Amino acid sequence: MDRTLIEAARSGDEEAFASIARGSADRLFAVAHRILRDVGRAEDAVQQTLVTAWRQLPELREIDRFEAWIHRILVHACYAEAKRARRWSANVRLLSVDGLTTPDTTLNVATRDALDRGFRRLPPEQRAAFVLHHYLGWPLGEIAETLDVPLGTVKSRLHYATSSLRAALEADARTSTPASRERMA
Amino acid sequence: MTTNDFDRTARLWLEDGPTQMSDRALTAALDEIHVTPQRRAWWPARRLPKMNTPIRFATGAAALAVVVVVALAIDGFNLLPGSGIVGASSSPHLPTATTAPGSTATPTGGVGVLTVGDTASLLAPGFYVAADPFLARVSFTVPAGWEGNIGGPYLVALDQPQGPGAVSFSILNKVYADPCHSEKGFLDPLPGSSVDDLATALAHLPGLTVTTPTAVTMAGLQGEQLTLTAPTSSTDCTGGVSRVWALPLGATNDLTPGEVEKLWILDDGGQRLVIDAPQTPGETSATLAQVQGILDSVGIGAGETGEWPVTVQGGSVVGDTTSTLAPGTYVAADPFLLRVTFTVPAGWRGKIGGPYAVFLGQAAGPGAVTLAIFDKVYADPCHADKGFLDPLPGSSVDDLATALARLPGLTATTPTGVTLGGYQGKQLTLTAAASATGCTGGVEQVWELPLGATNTLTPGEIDKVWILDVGGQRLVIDAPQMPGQAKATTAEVQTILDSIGLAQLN
Repeated sequence: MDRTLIEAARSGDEEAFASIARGSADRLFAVAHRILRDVGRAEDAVQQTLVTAWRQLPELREIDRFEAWIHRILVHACYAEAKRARRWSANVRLLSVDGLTTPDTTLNVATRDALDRGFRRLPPEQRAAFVLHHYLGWPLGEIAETLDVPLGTVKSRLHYATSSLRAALEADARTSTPASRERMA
Repeated sequence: MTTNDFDRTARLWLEDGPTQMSDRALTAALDEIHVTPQRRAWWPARRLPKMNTPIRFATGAAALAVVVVVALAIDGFNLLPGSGIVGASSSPHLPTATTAPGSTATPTGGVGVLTVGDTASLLAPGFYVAADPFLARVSFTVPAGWEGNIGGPYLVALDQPQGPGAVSFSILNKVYADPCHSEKGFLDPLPGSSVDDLATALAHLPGLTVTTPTAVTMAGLQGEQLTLTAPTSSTDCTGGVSRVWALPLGATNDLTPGEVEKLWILDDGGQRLVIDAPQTPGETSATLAQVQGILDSVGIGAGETGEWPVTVQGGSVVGDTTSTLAPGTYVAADPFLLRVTFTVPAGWRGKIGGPYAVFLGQAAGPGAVTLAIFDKVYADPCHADKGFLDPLPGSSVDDLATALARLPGLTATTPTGVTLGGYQGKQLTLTAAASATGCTGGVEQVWELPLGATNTLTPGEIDKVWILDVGGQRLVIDAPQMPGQAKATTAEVQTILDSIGLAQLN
């Protein structure tokens, strides 16, 4: 991120911040969507993140930490969005019973679905740790620093998330195998 | 499935999804930014002059008479109950935080039809501070029977679920041109950014009876006060209500027929804050008294840090939440239940994690020192899902030391007498098993703080623990040591431990 832009925005230059926002929005949205699994709510989280970032930018002392700082705001915005239980219930995705008829070169529908369902059962804190680590590729120490939680907490959250998702995949594999055989027969 | 297989699968799954935000959403955010003032810069990290121990804390006593529980400490937007008076208490028992989750989503008494963030929780009577994401730092005391929530950056709503009483704190500039016919849209242009701009706009709204705005001081801030009264019949109005304003995220403030709404519009250092207390016809004197009590208790603007309430008292600065601390001596007080001083070398970060924890950690290393107040110890660290010791350890230093020393699955040294920071206690060392493969979550969880943070030990981790009695308040200091930790890190940790000074709040 351009230091000059951040410095200008920190001094109240709205246009500079708009440039930052335009340059960051997609990346933030991608992360928010991975955590929330919903386009509308991810957009809400990013909107709130940008407003909060603009508001609090004068307090950012270390410009080099802008990326970590704004991701921290984003994750908290995602936590807030995740607490809106009313909207969770509407977030249902229908999948084809038969899945893909041709092999998927990346992940098959059943795997995606199992991960999706398993992920939706995770608390937002574990989702965030999982996404920051596996999607952004951040090391655990960086996640702990960004989220302002102890390293052990990040480890724990990530471990729980991983265990839950693995369990979801394994359970799915167990239940889907007989059906597959049946179809083949 | 191997770990590598799983990681690859997870990565592919995460990569499969939208990566572009709609222009509409971005434009809406930029529009919002256009009408949102920036917060004034405030730099909390400041070195203290050298101090001798015992440190004298002669100032700020009044401000420390209450404990503040911060909304975002653990649970996001929901407010958590305050824990009562601390200074005079010698009880080592922890204040209890009990919340009734999401009792109602519909605010009463004309606060408005909330369309976002409307999960309210019943609040235990006590003192609260509304922290992030609300843009103003607002504190208040609620009596029994009130609920509240932070509706986002622009709203804090308090109300009686069993009555008409309500008080809300809002940041707004969208005022309807005609409250009776909100479909006509907002005033065009919208009111300017000053207190007077908004007061004048509201005073000229058609269809409402409005008092002349008068200068007022509330919670130490200058502003204007006015009262809106809705007509006794709104049958011809859209939705049967008079809709006065909308908040940036969509919540609206509606007045029912005959409703009286007292408004205070205040200037909080450039941020305009509106406090409103609606009064419905026939409201009881008891409710009115409760509303007045809340209004009288309102404090605004204390400790503006962006995330945690940080207060400046007696020239000292409490903590720093977001960035690396400059090397030097710091004091942590509100909301932590004890006054703690410590000296950090370069490259350390620190945070007050609410009333029960102060976290210090190396910005780029494993070194850490935590000060915590708790009584929940897991019965089996390797299997935290089994729950806590039952009964929990008693309230004394010995009770906790003995309980920790007997935990299964950990290697613990025998607790020995120790003095740290001028206070007596017990020291022991816990060592996690070299492998935690069979443990829940792959870690050993030893204790949990009242707001939910847990202390986990990774395989082979060594946790040095000091349990102290600080004037009746039991305090645990722990310094984890990871396998293979550099000597320099261990030395820095020891330096911090050696520097710790402790005192009660009084």
